Amino acid sequence: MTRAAEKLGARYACLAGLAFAALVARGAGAQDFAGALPPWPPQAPSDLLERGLPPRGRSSLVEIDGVRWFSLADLASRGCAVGSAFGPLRAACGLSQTGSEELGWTTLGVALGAAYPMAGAAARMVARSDRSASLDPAVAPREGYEVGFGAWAEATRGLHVWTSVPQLWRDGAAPPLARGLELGVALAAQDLSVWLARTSAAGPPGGVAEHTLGLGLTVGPLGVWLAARDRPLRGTLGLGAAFKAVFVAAGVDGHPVLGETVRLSVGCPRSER
Amino acid sequence: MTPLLFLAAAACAPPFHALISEILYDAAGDDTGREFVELFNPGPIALPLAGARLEAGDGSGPGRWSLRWTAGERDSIAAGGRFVIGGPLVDPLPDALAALELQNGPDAVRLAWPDGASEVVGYGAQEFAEYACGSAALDAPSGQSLARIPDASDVGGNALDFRAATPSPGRANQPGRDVALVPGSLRLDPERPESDRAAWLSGSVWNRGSASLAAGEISLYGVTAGVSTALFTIALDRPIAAGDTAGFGVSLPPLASGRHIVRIVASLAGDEAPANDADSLVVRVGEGPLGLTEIQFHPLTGEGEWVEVRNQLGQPLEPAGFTLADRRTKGSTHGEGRLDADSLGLLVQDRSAFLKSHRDLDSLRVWQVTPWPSLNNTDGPDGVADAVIVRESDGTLSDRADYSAHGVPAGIPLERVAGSWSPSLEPGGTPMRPPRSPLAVERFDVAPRRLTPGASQARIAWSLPWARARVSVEAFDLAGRRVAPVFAEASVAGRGEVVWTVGSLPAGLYVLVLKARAESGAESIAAARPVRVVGRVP
Repeated sequence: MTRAAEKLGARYACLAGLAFAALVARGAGAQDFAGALPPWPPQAPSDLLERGLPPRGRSSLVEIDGVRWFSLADLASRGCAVGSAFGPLRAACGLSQTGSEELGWTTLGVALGAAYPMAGAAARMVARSDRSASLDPAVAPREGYEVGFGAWAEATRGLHVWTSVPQLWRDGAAPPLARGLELGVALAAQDLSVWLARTSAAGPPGGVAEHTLGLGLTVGPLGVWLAARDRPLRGTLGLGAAFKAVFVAAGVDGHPVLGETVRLSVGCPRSER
Repeated sequence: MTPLLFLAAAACAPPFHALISEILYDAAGDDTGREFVELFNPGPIALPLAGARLEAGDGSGPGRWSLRWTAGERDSIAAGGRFVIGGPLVDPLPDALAALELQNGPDAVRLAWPDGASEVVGYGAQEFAEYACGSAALDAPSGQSLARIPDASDVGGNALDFRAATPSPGRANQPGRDVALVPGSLRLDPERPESDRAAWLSGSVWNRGSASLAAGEISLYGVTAGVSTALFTIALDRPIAAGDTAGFGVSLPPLASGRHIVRIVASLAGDEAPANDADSLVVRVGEGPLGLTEIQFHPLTGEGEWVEVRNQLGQPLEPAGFTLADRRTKGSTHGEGRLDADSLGLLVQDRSAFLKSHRDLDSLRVWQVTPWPSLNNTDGPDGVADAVIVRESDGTLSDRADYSAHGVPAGIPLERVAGSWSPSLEPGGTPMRPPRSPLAVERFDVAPRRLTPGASQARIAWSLPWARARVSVEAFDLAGRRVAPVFAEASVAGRGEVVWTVGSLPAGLYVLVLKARAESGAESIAAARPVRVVGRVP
């Protein structure tokens, strides 16, 4: 098989995967590796661990994330993830902890996938343990597990589509957050990119899908992005800067009722192989 | 030696006669019965006093000498001994009782001997030469005597031989070994410590004796009522030459809240004048009786400057007699009336002008301060505009606030809220009222915060700044999506609670948001608390 045919095959495989995901998707959960980078393009180990979307680039990366959810003192996440590339293979593992002793949990995540210039796909696995023991393990076990996957493909030049089903299979303790199927499309032209994503409802009965519209601009080593989400209407402002040995990104999600969620990511990329 | 130098060095006391060694002419309070003149025999043999006359000189005119006492036939002074002539209130009782009626300077005392010899000791700014030998001694402050130091000093002038000293009738003016605490040298940092915190006590000791003292000879200890053991004991680790002073510092251990009198004693083996070994410091630990709660340092209207104080004593208090100071000026509080426990009162620059601007306030809780310490409106290089210092009538610190005027809009007072100072939320401040707090949910609790789906229940309690309000509680998930109503909006009491049954809410982490609004008015507030519903994957 020629190299071009191999790439074309990968693209069709991913498109088929996207269609399959749309058919089988149901609620999935957890935001354990919630970094500050925008949802598109996938760049960091947290994208691989959280959504199963492998970075297209071949950089190895150590990433540290911190999130203060809704300005609540006893609801903060801190995590560390390491990603690596071996040819088309992409792998990542990470550890995170969220919340206080009473409410919180600790998560170990691993992900493995492949990325080609025109398509990528990965599987993610997460094991989660509550920080405090359950009073009744039969009703509420302390440990929970989930397996999911994600994929993206370049449909035409500059137009990408992606899907993420982060929790195709679950067992044990229910996750802290139920997340639905995520479908997205992104259009990039030079330094500007626009993306639209739809996340299915996955929580209590009667939930409705959520939509995200985002706009990103990259100028040299600096990046800025804006995103708006509905139900309820809210916005995100993010800033990032990449240098040779480090990148820093920060984002603030504004919520009309809950207040601000502040995210911070710091990463140390290693040179491409 | 030139004649001039010879004159300057000539002795004032006649040889082979007793010396005038100490004079107390201005005792503290009423002088009557407390004045004395002490004579001293520095020689190796006893000296008779028979016929010696003690005269008082009135420095306002020449030749104004009057007899105060004449020695009897049997009066004498032993070798190295002292003879005190004075009133019946002198302690110890004098060797000879006499009503001396000495004037405060410029005046003099003269001792005239039967053989024609005499000695004059003058004090104050003398106009006539007969009232002093050489330059007159400096006027001693009230309560202190003029003492010859060293005891046998006779170097050619009253100013050289005599200096102000603590009265010591019948005792050496400068003992061989004597350590004293320098009066007024004791300091505490912080001046008003918290009850659970140590403070740094510093002061100075003075070697008043004629002998040098070696390192370790002087020890210091502190005691206070209600504490059976010494608060501290330290040894001074360096020598002090005769006449020198040395500073010391020691950590004062935490004391209980309230007012303490800490007595600090300097101890020296063989101290010949133990009366000057101790000094006391009044220490206020914790809150003082009057606390500062509001400062108006830049009024726009003609109300004048003012500060608001709170009675923190726990019982009624009379603010009159307290002092109010800034970093330069101190004024006293005047007026009558009491301030009930926990009540607010005002110390003002101009009482009538203030009451004219605030006709609705209780005038009985407004006290005039005279002179008013004008409070600065602009910060100095240290970032502090001024200090407001309230002290009890005995000088004990009650409260102090060092404030910055930076960023405080003109006319807006500073208020103390939860221990820190900030501009008042009301333009004219809140004199005699508690500060207005920003509207907020005072309490929003969910217990327990770890629940299971189904019949599991939590108690949701709130406290709001209104008597009644319309309240609702909703649950949001970690992604910020509204998931379910927990408590539908209803009119409830400002303080209340409901029981919430988790019901069909699936396992997950949720943020419960309480939203409240006043029943009348548009103001609304909110608060959030996370809860966790734990359960098995369905």
